[in-house]
Amino acid sequence: MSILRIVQKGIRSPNVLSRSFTVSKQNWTYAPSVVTPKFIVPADLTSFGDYKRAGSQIPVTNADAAKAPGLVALHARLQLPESFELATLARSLTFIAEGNQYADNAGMALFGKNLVKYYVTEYLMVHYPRLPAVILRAALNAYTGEETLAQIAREWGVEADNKSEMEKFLVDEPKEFSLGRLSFDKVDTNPERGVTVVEGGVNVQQAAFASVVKSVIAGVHAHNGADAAKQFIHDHVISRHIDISQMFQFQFPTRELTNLCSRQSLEPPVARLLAETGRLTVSPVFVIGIFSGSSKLGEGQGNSLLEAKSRAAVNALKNYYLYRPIDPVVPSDPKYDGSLIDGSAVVI
Amino acid sequence: MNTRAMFALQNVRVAPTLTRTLVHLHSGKRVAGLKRNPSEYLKVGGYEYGVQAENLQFVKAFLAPYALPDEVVLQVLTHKSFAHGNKPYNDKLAYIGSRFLNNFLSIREASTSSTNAHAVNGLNFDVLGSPIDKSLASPATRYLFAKAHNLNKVLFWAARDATIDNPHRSGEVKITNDVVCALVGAVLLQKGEAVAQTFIQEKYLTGEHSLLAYGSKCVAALLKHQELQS
Repeated sequence: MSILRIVQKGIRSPNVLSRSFTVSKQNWTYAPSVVTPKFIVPADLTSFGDYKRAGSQIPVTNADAAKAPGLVALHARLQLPESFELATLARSLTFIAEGNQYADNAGMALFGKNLVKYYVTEYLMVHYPRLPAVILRAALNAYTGEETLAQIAREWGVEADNKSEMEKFLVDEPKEFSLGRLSFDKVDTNPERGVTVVEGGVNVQQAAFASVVKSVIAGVHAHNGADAAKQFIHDHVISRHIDISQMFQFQFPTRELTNLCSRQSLEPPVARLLAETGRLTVSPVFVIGIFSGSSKLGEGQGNSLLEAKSRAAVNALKNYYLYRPIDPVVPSDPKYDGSLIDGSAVVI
Repeated sequence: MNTRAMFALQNVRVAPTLTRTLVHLHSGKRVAGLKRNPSEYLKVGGYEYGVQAENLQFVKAFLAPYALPDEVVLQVLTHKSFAHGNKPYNDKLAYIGSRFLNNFLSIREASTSSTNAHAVNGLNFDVLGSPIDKSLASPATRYLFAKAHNLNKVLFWAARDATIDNPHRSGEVKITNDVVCALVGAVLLQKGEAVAQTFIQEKYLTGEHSLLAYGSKCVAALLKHQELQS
């Protein structure tokens, strides 16, 4: 269970010492955890079709969903096929909360999460077969982390249902209109004055927005099949530009390169000075190449010999780890014919 | 070529390279500075690291007829902790295998014909997140499954503390879970998605010692425990 830390104004703490800060509404959406769903478990535990959620939530009908302008607009904006029902889209916009009137998207979000994580992982594994596992996880998180998915949902134009029941009543808003907005439990809406969350907990608002993307992916799979879901993930998630080369941070590049050459049965790497200028000036430049036998692995330049050597080693490591095959085919493609199985990164 | 460039070329110095031609591999008690004989530390529980038949026999028997190259099978059985990560290890295979297995299981669970009123176009998403769903993805269940198929008989890894016998505390459960997932990952990367799906269905989800059988046993035990507690 995550720990929710709160800091009260006036308490001497290194982080908040003599600092006056304003409690923003954004911070109020943090909660210790998201509501856990309850299940009706069948006698035969492997009878998956008989599992049900406990509670009296009702499904949204397509007729009701069609009356929600936000829902129809979102359906059109995402260019979802006709077969993708508006009722499914309405369910995608219902995040798990206590006392929900309609069925929520908890199961759909889990299903969509598994789909998106698998397709992005296979994409990364095949397009960058030598990527170290740490970078692979970081890249996967950059593509499919909650923050990214929540951002995608906002870019889609998903709106949170922030209106109170009273506000809706005063403007005489039909109840179906709420189906077109993301509903979630806005926790701690009235916190004690002067108290704010500084770390820990679950950002419910972010989790709710991220769940929309995952649920829509699940909906596409349900209504249009696995291929359509894969295409949807490529269009909306994998198409985002992420610079993987910027994710590397080597602590001991030369040592790592030596270990890598040893593991790959290559000759030990040797740094050679290729060019230099202004050695006796205030701004010298050295160009160093790293060689394994007669093959140049990488090149780097710097204001000192050590810096240039280090940069050359980093360059050589990146050249190795960021290798990309020509025309890669992913395992889910029928034309797939095997790919490189890498021995993973060396351990320092 | 201008004078400056010529001058620069004349000043290029090639660093002398020293190559060690003779290496003493030390056996016996460890001595600082001496390189250890690999045959001394490249073994676990009497099994010497390599593609020998005795190392791969259990996994190969389980895999049949989905044969994999010996080097890949050895990589599946090797954890990052073994030989300081200097041998090919299974973490990325386990990573993609885990993603594929979880995805396959969730599709299979949701696709089972259902009478649930909340099913979306026949898919019962309500089963996801349930105790059985969590149990199938849990390392403890996969450890029982692997044990039943002798998949953890030969594992190349280094325990953080050799004195701990409990597999849950020693890390053996997690290492075995990685092997179970890495097998799926290896089949997926070698033979593609369609074969990997058949492989899981046939080897993981069918029979008396299947993942489903152990998953439901774990859930039954959990429910009984909860009943007793209440």
